[in-house]
Amino acid sequence: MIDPTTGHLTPEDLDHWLEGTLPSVRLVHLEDCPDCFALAHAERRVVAWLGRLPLLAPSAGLSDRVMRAVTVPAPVARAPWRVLVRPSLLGPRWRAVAAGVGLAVTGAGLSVAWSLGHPDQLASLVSSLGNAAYRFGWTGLQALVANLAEQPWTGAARTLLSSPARAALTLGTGILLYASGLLAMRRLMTAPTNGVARAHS
Amino acid sequence: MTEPAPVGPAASDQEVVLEARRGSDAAYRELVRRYERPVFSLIFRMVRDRELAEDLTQETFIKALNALDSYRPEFKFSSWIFKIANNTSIDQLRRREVDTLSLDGSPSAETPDAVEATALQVGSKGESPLDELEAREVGKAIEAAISKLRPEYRSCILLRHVEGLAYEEIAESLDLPLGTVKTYIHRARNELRQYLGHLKE
Repeated sequence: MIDPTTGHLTPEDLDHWLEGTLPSVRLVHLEDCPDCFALAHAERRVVAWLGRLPLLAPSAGLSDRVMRAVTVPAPVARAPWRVLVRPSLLGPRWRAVAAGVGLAVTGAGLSVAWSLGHPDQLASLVSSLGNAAYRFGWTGLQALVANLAEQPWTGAARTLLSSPARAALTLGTGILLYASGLLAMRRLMTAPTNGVARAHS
Repeated sequence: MTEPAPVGPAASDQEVVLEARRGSDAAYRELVRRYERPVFSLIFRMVRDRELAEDLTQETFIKALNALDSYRPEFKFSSWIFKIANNTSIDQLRRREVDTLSLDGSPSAETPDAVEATALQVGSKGESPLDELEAREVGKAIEAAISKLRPEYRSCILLRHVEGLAYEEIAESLDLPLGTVKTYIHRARNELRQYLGHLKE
């Protein structure tokens, strides 16, 4: 966004300024740089003048003159349901969405109907699925714990957490490191200051 | 079977177009009513001759309304009709190289009444005679400055700052890349700033 050679406002900056969306760092430059200030205000005057130009009206009767030369198609039948639906909802995208929703609703309806008609089979199915899910989850958890216990750093971690004092020290050090990292990131992400912008101008 | 639904000011352009395609005479007239001033203003400021602008506006609407079937509702109707209006104006400029600034009436007007009738009315109503005179002078200076721009700059700046279209809509209307539209508008504003530097706020 910043002109790399001068630090002055670019045409895009001017657009943002005219729309009131220029970032504060660039606003500071605008206030400090007489050239950019004069340019931006001259630009705003031009835009204001253009905005005040009136819309002009053609002579009366344009509509009639146009209609004499336009071929209007014969009125066509209008399906009753179309009266209830907004025409903008009849495009291909909305039709695809409507088809998807229709399929989902139909599927859900069939599922409910089948469930109501076969309560025993449904209960058996739910039970066997529940048992399978329980077995799968329990086996997975056991595998995860066994895997963690086999890691080379597990012994060191146990030592660090062997007493409440050591655990607190470890936690405190961790928080300190995390905060330092955040501060360093924030400094890296901050935009150049006013002093830098002025140095380029 | 029902008749085409009535179209009112609250209906979207797409809804009105849909009704027009279904054979509603009122929908065609509604489209003309909505766009006659924006389209006429754009064309007038492109060709700078009221009589010619009247003819070209009529031609634009006839072309657009007779080709409504080719309009794709996923795009804005305004972009589509401005594209036709701009192409019609550019074709005319290429054919006749209209360069006569006609703020004081059409060059083809033969009587004082015709001159008055074809003159561009600038300035706002409800101002004191002095303010009105000043506004009229400023308006004339701006119109004159716009007329000095290259046609492609002129259509971009008019669509952006007089008709209020977004950059993306202008790119769509004029079949130009977005970057080109931005460049044209910045250059046009730059030229206007120079032409109008002598004017007071």
